[in-house]
Amino acid sequence: MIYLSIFAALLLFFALVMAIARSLYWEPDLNIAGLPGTATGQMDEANEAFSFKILLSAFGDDDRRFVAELGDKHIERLLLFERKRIALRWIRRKSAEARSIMREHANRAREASDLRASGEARLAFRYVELLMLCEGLSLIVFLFGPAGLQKFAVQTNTVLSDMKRFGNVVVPGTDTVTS
Amino acid sequence: MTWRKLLPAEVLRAYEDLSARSLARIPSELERLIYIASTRDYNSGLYHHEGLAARFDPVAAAKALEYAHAEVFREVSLMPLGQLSDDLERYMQSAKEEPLAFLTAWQELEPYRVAIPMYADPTVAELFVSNIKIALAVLRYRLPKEPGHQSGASLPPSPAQRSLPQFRS
Repeated sequence: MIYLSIFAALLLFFALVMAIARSLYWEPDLNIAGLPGTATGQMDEANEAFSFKILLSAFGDDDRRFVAELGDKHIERLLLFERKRIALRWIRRKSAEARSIMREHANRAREASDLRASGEARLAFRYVELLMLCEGLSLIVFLFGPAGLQKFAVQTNTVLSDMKRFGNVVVPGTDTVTS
Repeated sequence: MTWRKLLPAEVLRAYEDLSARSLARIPSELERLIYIASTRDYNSGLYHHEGLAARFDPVAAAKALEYAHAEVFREVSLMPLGQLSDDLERYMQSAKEEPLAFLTAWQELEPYRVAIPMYADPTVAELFVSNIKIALAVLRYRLPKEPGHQSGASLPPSPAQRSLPQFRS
């Protein structure tokens, strides 16, 4: 019984930390700007590749190693603070993209006549998976910083890419708008 | 970069001309960024390059500059910190200013913010500002120490240092 209480207390504690983190880092809406004057659809491939590079930069370990070699504690703290900020922003953005995909998909699904239950379930599963990954990643980044979390960030990015693809496949003949 | 494929033919020609005649002569990405940003009018946000506008349609020339700006900005934003610090050090030396005065001005006035393109991705813009702040701290750390001084601790706090205790962007 005591273990259950401790577990519940830990869960509540993490929920509280997440709520505080969210209130500090809240971003009102999604803003993915691209090359001005170019259609959004054309930008998708380039945005995708570029988003991946941001991920590698924000969650990479090279800069931390470079700063560690300098041996200055102030610069190390500054790097950790800045990287946390960027990483949390990236996570919020991925989460917002996922919500946008689901919203758009729900709108299209309401008008579709040939929906496939398996496809819908798969999309919903991916959405829940992505939200859980984002929440977990946010918590770890908030507590320890983003260094060394590249693998999880790549996984989050992959799940989002799958969602984009499923969003198109599940409701045939429609395009999923992500921004 | 994939975006280049999306440029109209005239803009692409103007961009290639700009790259070959002007940008190729500038030794570092950071200096290229500062150069291109300087062709943008602060009040209107419009780009103008005398030579390019004479050789190409002025609208295409402005678009080429805008594209070049966005491209080099992405390159600089994603640069590893070590390389960015070296580029910034080279730029500081070429500016022929007293290093301490240069660093103080860049940390207090943050003039590098004018190098951000108008339609830059907000996360990338954040990454750029963040990396420059850290690179400036690195350069300050690299400055020869005065006797009795340790690291940059005795110097006036930078905006980055002042904002450390807060956790809001």
